[in-house]
Amino acid sequence: MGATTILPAHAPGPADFSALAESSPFTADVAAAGVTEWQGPWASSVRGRDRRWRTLLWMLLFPPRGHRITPTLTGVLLIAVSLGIGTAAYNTANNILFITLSLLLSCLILSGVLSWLNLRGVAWRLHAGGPWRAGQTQTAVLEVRNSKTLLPTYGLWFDLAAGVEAERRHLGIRLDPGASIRLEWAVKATRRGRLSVQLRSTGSLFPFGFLHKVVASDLARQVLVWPAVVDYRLHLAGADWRLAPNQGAVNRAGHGGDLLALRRYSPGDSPRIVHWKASARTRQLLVRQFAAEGHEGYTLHVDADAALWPRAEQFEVALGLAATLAEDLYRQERLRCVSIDEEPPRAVRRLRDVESFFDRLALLERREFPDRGRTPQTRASAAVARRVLRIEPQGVRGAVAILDGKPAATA
Amino acid sequence: MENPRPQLSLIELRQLRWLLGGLLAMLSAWTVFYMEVDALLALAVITATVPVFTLFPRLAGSLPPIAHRLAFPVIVVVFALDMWTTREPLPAMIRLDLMLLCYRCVAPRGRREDLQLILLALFVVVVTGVFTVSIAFVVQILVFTAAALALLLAVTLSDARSGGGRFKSAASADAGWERVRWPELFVRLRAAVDLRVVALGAALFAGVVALSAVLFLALPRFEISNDFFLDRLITKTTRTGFSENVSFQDVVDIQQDTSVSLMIDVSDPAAVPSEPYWRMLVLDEYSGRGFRMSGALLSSFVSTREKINTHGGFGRSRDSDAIWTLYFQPGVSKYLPIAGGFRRLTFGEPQALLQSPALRMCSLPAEPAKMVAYRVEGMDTDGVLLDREFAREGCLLVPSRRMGLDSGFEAEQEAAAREITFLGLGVELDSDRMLLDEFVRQIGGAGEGGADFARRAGAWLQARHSYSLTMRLEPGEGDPLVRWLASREPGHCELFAGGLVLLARAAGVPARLVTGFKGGAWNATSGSITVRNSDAHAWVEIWDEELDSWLRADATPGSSITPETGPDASPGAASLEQDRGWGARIDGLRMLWYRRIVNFDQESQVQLMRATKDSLRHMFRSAGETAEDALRSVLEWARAPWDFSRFVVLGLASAALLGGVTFWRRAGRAWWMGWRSRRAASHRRDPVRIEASRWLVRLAHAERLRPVETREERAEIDVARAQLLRLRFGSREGWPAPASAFRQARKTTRALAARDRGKAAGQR
Repeated sequence: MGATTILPAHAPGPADFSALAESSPFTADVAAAGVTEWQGPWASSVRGRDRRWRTLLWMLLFPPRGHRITPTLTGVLLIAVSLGIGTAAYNTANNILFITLSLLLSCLILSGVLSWLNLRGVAWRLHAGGPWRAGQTQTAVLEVRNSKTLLPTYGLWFDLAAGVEAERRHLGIRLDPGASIRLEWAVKATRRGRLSVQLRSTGSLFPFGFLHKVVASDLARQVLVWPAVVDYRLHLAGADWRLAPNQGAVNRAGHGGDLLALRRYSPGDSPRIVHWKASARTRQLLVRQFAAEGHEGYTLHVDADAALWPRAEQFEVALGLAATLAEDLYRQERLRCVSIDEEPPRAVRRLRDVESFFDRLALLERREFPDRGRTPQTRASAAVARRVLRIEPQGVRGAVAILDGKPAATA
Repeated sequence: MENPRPQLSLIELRQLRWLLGGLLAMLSAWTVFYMEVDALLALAVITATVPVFTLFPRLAGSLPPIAHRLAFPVIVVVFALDMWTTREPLPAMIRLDLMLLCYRCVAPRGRREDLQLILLALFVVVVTGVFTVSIAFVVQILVFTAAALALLLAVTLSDARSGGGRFKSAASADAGWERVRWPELFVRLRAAVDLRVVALGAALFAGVVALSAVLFLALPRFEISNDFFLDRLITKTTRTGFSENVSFQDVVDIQQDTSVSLMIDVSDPAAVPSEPYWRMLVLDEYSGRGFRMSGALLSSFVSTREKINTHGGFGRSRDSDAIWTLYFQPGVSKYLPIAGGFRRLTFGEPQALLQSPALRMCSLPAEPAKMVAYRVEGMDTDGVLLDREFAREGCLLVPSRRMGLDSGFEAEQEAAAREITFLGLGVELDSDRMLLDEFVRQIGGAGEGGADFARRAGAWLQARHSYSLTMRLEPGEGDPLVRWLASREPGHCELFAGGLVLLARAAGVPARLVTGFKGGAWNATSGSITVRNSDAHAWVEIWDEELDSWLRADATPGSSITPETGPDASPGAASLEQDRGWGARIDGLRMLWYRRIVNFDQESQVQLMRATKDSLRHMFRSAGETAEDALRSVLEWARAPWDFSRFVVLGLASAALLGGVTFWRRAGRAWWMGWRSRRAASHRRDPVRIEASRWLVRLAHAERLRPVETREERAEIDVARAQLLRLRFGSREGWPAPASAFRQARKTTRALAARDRGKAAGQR
């Protein structure tokens, strides 16, 4: 968690205000991850009262990029009626018609002014939430606030998008001055990988429905969608590894058991198990190795060799199986290491390590290994030192986790 | 944050829309009352049904589905029948509009139907305004605009409430909306609405009205073709009776109507005669029932081929500077009231015109459906119409050509005679002729001329008859007018005028009857003359050989028989009846409406721009002169001999000025900023915080341009920035003194700039 200072629109800039975090009235706690900065239609362009009208006039002539005003059916009707009355007025030189024309044009201008007032002082930010997993529904939240002092805001809508999925959410109620509101949006990620959750635009028909005012937004949050959870079947034949519930609860290394020895530090080891005295004496980083470290633990290995996975769908199933197995093994505290391709195994000691593995699985793509040869399993086995669950294809669609040459789980 | 005020639900918004729609329909429908359109039945139906359905919306749902299916076909059939029977497109369209309005108010409405309702209502209001040109139109259109905007706002809010105006889902979401309890809705509405926002909305609406006024004045007034098409869609009959046939009692009937028929704006009130007569029709043929304009006389009208703004005049065209602008109300006549000959006649918009130079008459092709404004220059008001042709020929010669179709006259008139002597008695019985001869003998014969005979005959008539609006004439044989002359019964202006015509013709003096308006009231509020229908009058024009002119002769008691001549003839507007009171004020408002709004044209626009330019120039010139005077005074003071006291005065003034500036810079500005800061509604409007923001930007800019070089500079900048940051974002209790903080910031930025200047000087 961290603190972010929410600056008013005409503040000089965030870099200058680090000293103010405690005294600022605008300080708010915002989740560092998954939350964007506040954004509004004119939040960054209007600076100070002196420039406000000048900026506004300039913006009326040259609207900022993405700001769009188009007439609605009602607006087109109004324009058509105005044209008709204008034509009749010029045709007949009738001042009654000129009055009506003036009034219609004024209403159009009033509509634009009220529309501007409606959006003025409104800001929004996006909470992407998480974790995101393919096939599961997640909730994104759009927080909208009205920082005006007098005028409420009505009738906004927000065009939200996550990948190809898009939805328009309406703010049907009145947003009073100083109030904020959270709009929740249920999104189902269909596939793993990067997903951009974004607010594409904000619009309004307020006040009279003549003008369709749209303010484009670049508010976006990139999230990683982990592989989907898959159903898999355990195989008893080669599965002495399979545990009954509450059986074989193994403590994590560094949390119990007898001290067996010291070993060299490997990436992922907790700093808390570093033996500092021994490290200083031997001039190399050594960590304590506990008895529990070697019990019943498995290494999960995923190979992304395109030669091994010719079919993309099958590769997705394999990644889903790997992620599901990793999650289950971690819950049972039996996941020791994870490895992908030819990299050395990475120890898994806490939830963040599993999530890091999921992040990498989310972005993993099949690739060619031209210098590897035709027996990747052998090299993979050599690359890891402990009991290895290797994910391999089964048939043309399925995937299997192989332990000691025997199938342990299939999906 | 919690919303303290309740939100209106979708159902409540729907109920509000229903109410506003009903109000809008009623408001627009009732404007038809101002129009002379036969739509009383439709109005009665609307007045009876719409309020009931608006207050009890459940009734709208109780209509059987077949009613909704049949409604539109039935309305179309009724419209077709209406068109077929009446042959008047515009009244039929207005009745159609009213029927559709009525249906829209008794059937459930969605977004589309609400828009239709607004359009239908707008049509009625605008058409009514165009035809009536009434000042009430301003009130109507403003109230209509406010109600329509409120309805559109409610539609937009309910669309947003229902998730984007998807009507089907909205219909299911607001099911049961028709079970409305108005008092509860109003209480909820009052609770949901912030009065400050309502006040701001009212101010914005006032701004819209002001902006409309500016747009109205600023819209360029170029003319495309100037064809007022709407008046062709309505056929009007003369309401007052000022037509080519005037039966006895017609003018008296007009006098019962006190509505305004003519408003006159005169550039020079001193030019107003004591008894202004506004001629409209000259009638020559007497038939026993009344006077009429003969076909031959109608043939004297000449039609302009094209529609033009300015028409040339006829008559003596006195060299008068007075400009008369006449606003002639619709429904009176197609003949324009004009006092006599004139030099030029200008309409606000191009207009076809029928003119009879011999009769000094002007007529529009058809009776106008709307108010007609025209300006007359060089108009004769003395009641003497010079006619050299009649003097030369002894009769009026009219061409025998066939009248154009656009003349507006009947085809039967083409067979009329070519010579008009204005001597035909039109009396059938010899006994009547003998009676007339006897009366002429009693009067003293033709005498020395028309004027002389008119005076004697008028006196004879006034001696025998008193004035009365009712005529009691015993039934009997013979011409009624001759029988009235023979009696001692009182009579009205038509009888006096008709009697004088017959007496003059019996005496061999050409005479003709004229109808129009006499007099008027001077409205001091607007500085204009108001002529009402009750001022309708009939008088005589009698031929005077000495003057070679037609001379006005008015035998009605209370009038001078022949026109007054001499310096007292035009005593000015003060001699007219003075119109005061609330009615006059309203008439004055109407006059203002006519002058500034209805009659606003390209020329007025140019005049307005010139006036604006002149006033601006005058303002700048005055300011320049004031400044010049002040400078001259100072210079004169400086050039005067200097002594000790002047030095003291100068020193004291300089010290006071210096002291004032110093005080302002040291304390005054800080006090002013602090006072405004304490009253600031929010942080963003706090002048101290805004000023601190500016200095932060300046400081960052200075630092970026001139990088800090020494530790002392860094410390100084950090201190200044810390103070500014505390002012900008810190709580007010922890603020340093704003003035000293800003002074420190100024000093720091100047020090950085001075350092650079020093370096640059050293390098040189």
